[in-house]
Formats: sequence, C-alpha cells, structure tokens
Amino acid sequence: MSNGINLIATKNQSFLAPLLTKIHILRFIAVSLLFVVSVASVILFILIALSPLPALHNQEQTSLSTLAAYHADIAKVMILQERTTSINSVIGKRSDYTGILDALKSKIPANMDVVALQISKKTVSITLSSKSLSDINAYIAVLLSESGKGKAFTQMTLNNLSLDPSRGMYLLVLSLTIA
Amino acid sequence: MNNDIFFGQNSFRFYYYRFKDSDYYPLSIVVITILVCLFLIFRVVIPQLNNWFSIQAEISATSQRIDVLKGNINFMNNLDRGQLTSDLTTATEALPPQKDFGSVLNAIAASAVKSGVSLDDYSFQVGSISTSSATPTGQGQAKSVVPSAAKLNGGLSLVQISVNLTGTVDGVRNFLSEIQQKLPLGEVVGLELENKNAVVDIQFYQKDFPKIVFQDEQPLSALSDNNRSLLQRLSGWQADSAGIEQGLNEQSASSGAMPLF
Repeated sequence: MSNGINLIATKNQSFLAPLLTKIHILRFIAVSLLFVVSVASVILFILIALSPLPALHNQEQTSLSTLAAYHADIAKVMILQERTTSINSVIGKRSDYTGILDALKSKIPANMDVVALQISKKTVSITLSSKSLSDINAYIAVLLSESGKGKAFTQMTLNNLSLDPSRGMYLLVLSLTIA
Repeated sequence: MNNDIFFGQNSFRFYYYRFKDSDYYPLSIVVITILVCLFLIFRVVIPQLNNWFSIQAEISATSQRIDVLKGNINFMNNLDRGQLTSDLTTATEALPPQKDFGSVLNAIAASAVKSGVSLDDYSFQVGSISTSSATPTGQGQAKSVVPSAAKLNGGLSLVQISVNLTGTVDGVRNFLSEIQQKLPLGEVVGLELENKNAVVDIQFYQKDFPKIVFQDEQPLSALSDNNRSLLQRLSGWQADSAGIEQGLNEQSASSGAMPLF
C-alpha cells in the first residue's frame, strides 16, 4: 500500500529527495555567485576602461617636455643652493679673530703696549710692556674676570713677568686658551 | 540504417540523455556553476580588482608627479633669471670652483688698503695649478704671501697664504676684519704680531662644482631666507671688493706704475 497520493508505488525514489533543501541552497549560492561574478566583471571593466591614467601619462609627458626647456636654469638653481649651503658652513665655522683682538685690546690700560701677539687656533699668546706693575696687575685682573666657563677665554697662564732694565719696562707674557 | 554523422554520435547522445534524466543532473549543474564561478572569481575578478588597485596607486603617484612638475614649471616661470645669474656669480666668487689667485690677491690688497696697513713687496710661486698642492717659496725682501693648498671634508679645498703686514695693532685688527668680508671667502687661522710687523695666516676656500643630477620629479625650492640674506651680504662684500679694486687700478694707472695684478 502506498502512503502517498500516487497509487503507483514509487520504487525508484531519488536518493536526492532528502537533500532537496540543500540543493536549493546550493542553487541559490550558484546563482548568487554568477550574479556577483558578472556584476563585478562589468563594474571592473568599466572602471578600468574609464581610468584617467592614460590622460595623466600624457599630461606628465607634456609637463616633462616643458620642464626640459628649463634644465640649464634648474642646474644654476641647484648649484646656487649647493654653493650657499657650503658658504654658510664656511662662514659658520670661521674663527672670530677680530673679536679676540677686541677682547684683549679693549682692556689694556693706557700705559701698556702690546709688544707681541700670537693667535693660533685655540691659544693666544700676548706680550705686553708697561712701566707700572699696577697696570699689569689691573690687566691680569681684567683678563681673569674674562676667563672661565662660558667666557671668552677658558684658561689663562702667566708665562713670564720680567724687567727690561735698559728700557725700565716690565714685560708680561700671558697665554690664554680661547673658548 | 546508421544515422551517425560521426562515429559514436548516437552513443554520446544516449549518454547525454541518460545523464540529463538522471538524479545527478541538477546537482552537477549547480556544482559546475559554483566551480566555474569560483574559478572566475579567483582567476579573473580578483586579479582585475588588484589591477584596479594598482591603477589607482599609479594614478595617485602620477598625479603627485604632475603636481611636482607643475610646481617646478611654475617656479621656473616665476624665476628672475637676472637675479639668479647675479646670485650665482656672487656665490661663485665667494666660493670659486678652482684656485683663483687673482681674486685672493685682490682681496688681500683691498683689505690692506681699507685697513691702512701696508703689504710688503712680495712674490710667490703657486706651484702646479692643475694639482691641489702648491709649492710655497717666499722670495724677495720678505716672505709676504706663501700659498699652499689642501683638501678638506665636504669637497672643500683651501689655499693657505701667509701675509706679511706692517701696521699698528688697530690696523691689523681692521685687516682681519676686512679680509673676512672679502670674496673669495677667507678665514684667518693664525696671527703673529710683533712691534709693527704682522704675519697673518689666511686660508681661502674653493670647491669644485658638483655633478648635478636632477630628477624631474624632484621639487625645486626657492632659496631660504637665511641663504637669501647671506647672498645679499656677500653681494655687499663683492661690491666693496670691486670698488676698492677699481680704485687700485685707477691709482696704478694715474701713477704710471705697473698694476698690482
């Protein structure tokens, strides 16, 4: 006896019948995939076909050819920038000998004379003559106040103090280390 | 009667219809569709998507390059070429690309004139001009100018000169100040002063022109304010030197003496 509406017994019932729902889901997935692939393909084709890249490349080539006419001037600009950088560097590291001389000379009392002066990269050696020991003392005191951390000179050494009897003058030899 | 167009035609048809009527047919169609779609996604859609992203990146890079190029073109269009040439002349005089003993001696002479010290008679040998070394040989009454050359870091090279001066301390101080404000750029590196005679060691700098490698996409920039003011300062020094040089020449011409340089 048949349980269904068909009177004829369905001997060859499909083995897929219980999987029908899953097949529907698979079919839905297949259709969805087809839709996605077709839509994505069309959209990508349109996007790539309408890309502004070729126009931009043309524009770039035009700009490059325009700029090529300025290459000589561009070279001048670049040389000028390189020169100014080097000049700045040279000027920046030049020693200020004028300042050192000013610092030494401005403090010299009226009765003292500079006999000899030697300035090298880091040291100053100065020989002074004076008839008065008090002037020499005053000058040393002034230079001492100019020596030390953060001042014009970092160190001061009294190398020699002698008397020249023929001239009646004291000779003072000082050496200073430039800051 | 055999209706086969080709061998086995009926057999294929038979298998096809048998397959079409079988339970596997709907399942296989779905599975094949899914497989083909997956194949298309992985082999066509995703590569095309990557291609599109690459194109977008290229568009962005090209746009940036075009912006730089337009900026460079605009910069060059607005550039004052006369000013550029003048600035370059000043900079090149300040830091010459090769040994320029004439300018060095002009600077020394002009500084001496302006500071009121006198240069002794002098003569010197520059050695081989083509090499960076020069043979220092003093000659005549006094060793007044003795040049020698050396290479420094940063592509800079220098010519070192010892100058004998006669003058007061103030005069020598003014000379030191003046020589630092003349072109080519010089730096006093040593001073020996005894009574009214002084020996000043000066080094003058030079630097070869660099090899310019310009990429068109490299943005050009105007001189910084610092460099602009530096050039103005150098330009003042240049004018100063030129004026004194002209004065020296006029003096030499009027006195009938041989020009100094």
